[in-house]
Amino acid sequence: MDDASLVVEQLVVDFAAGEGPVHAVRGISFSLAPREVLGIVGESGSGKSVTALAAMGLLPKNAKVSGSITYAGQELLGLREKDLAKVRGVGIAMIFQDPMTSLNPVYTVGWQIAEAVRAHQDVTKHAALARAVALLETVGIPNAAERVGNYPHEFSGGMRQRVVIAIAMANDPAVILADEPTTALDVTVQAQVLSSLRTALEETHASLLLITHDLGVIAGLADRVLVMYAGRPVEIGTVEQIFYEPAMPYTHGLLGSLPRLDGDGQDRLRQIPGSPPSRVGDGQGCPFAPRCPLRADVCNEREPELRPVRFRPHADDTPSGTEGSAPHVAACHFAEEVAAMPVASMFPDTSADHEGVAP
Amino acid sequence: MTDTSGRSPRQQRLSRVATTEAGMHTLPSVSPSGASDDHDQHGLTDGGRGQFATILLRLIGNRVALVGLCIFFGLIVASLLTAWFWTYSYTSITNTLNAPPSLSHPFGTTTIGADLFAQVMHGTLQDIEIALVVAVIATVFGALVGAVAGFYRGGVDAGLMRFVDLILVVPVLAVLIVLAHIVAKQASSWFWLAVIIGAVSWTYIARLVRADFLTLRERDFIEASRALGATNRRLILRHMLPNAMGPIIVNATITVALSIVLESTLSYIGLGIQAPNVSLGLLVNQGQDSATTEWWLFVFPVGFLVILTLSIFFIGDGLREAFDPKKSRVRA
Repeated sequence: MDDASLVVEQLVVDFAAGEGPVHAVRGISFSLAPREVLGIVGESGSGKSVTALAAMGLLPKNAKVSGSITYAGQELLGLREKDLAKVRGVGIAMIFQDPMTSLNPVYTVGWQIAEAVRAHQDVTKHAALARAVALLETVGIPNAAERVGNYPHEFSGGMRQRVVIAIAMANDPAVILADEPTTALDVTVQAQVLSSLRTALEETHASLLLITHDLGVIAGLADRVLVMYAGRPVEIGTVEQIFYEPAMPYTHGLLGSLPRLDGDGQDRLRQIPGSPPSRVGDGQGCPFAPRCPLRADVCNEREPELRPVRFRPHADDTPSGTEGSAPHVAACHFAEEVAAMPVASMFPDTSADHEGVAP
Repeated sequence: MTDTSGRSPRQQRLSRVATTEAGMHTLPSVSPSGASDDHDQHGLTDGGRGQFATILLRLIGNRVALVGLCIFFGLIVASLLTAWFWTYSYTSITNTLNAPPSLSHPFGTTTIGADLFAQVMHGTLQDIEIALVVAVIATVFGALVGAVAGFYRGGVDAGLMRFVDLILVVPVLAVLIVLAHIVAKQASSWFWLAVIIGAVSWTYIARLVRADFLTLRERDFIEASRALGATNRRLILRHMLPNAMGPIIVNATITVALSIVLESTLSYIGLGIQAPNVSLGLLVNQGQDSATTEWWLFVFPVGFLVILTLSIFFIGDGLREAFDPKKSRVRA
């Protein structure tokens, strides 16, 4: 595997809409090292999927994209469709959210995997089909040699998603983008699909951009986590940093809204009040401020930049500002204070159904 | 396939796979609705021909379609045999005028003494030829126009669809009369007649396919194929058209039926099939005046017209199901 990796810099995506441009992504930068798994979390509409689609050049025409996305040193933004087609599948492959709809219903799964193989490799149909069988075995489809002849509707949701993973693996891509690969599946099937995904990563040595709103999936698979809110990254760190020392109130809130197996099971889930801001027009101040229990005047005046979190006493006291050497960054005026708080305790222990409902 | 010595590991693995597939046929079916497993195995052995074989097998597995196929090809064979072996040709005139059906003239004779059986059989063949040419022209052209319009949307769509609207508002009969008048004098005029009918009937298929493509292009699997590096051409031809096959086929069969009707309309005003050539439409129109007195002149051509059209509908229905993997699974 060469040094191929994905570098996204200052990516901005606006959608033209009736009431003015919608700022879907407002400046996101990250780089994906070879074999690294980067998780992107955030609630619906935070710009996760748009980021991935931008990297594949699959955004609709009304999207205005600026910034830079480079794969193996090649700038992808503004690339002609013909040249993009050479990167898609081979360099960057994508796994879509809903396996029920991302397979062509009129072709057998074997045909579809073989098609992916033959799209970028000069092999015979039979060789491509043999590769399809091998790929199906890799992702854990039993009786692969028989099942290649089946149609998608003869597969369960989890099996279909494994087929989708097999298709993504077909050309040994350097980067796999997985856009909520387990969202449409139930929990037990999720586990199987995640293990297939893990196998796929081992086989192809690909790096993975894992987009999800499921922190459990992130914890199981990712090396680093990028938390998105309102079109911007608000915190980037290793899984340990994000889960044990979250330095942004939003991350706290996400963790607090998860049911925990290690608690006594009696606690209510702590929800984040309110809803994400509209992204039409330009707001001022921190986009999370209206929902944040720690908000101060400064939050309404100035939107915090991503900055290194100097929390751990034993950590290097003078982290250099350059990317890579400052692994834990957060966009909060009070990042250090937040990181010092016990995880998931920031939001009040109430839920909406207390109001207006008789006890 | 059995000799794997001296081959690369990949080839060996490949032949193992192939052997497994071949072995599948001899095994008892595992799945509850197992009959179609066999077909599926055919489907994967090869891209183009394999799929064709799959569809053909599914088509034959459909009882209604099988009846349609038998009637359709039976009619063709019968007409050919009649042309070669029957005592009378459709052009020959006998001395027996207006005779009811008898042993020497099974369908009777016409007012000028032609053998109606020979004429009906020839007319059937003529109609099949015209209908097939019309169906091919209208379907291929209409589907491509609709596909391109629905896939690219925007200006391309607007331009093509306004063109379709234009064709739709032009009075078909007036155009046909002018054009048919010109081609009626040509040799093999039936072919040009078919081309003209095809040229006015593709618009319906174009609109249907466009509508289908507008929804298909938003489907996830199209985006997924694009994410794999599929070109627009490939997306249209290999991914979206097969998914639009149902409406295309149904409409093609309707086009076949309509073209037979259109042809008979043209024949009625003397601009369709030219004598001495005959078509079923021509015969129906000649016979309708005497439907109450010389009933055979009307009943036999109409009967064949109905049977022919019905068989085409049956085949079309079967084809539609054969192209749909889910439907055929239930059937087969």
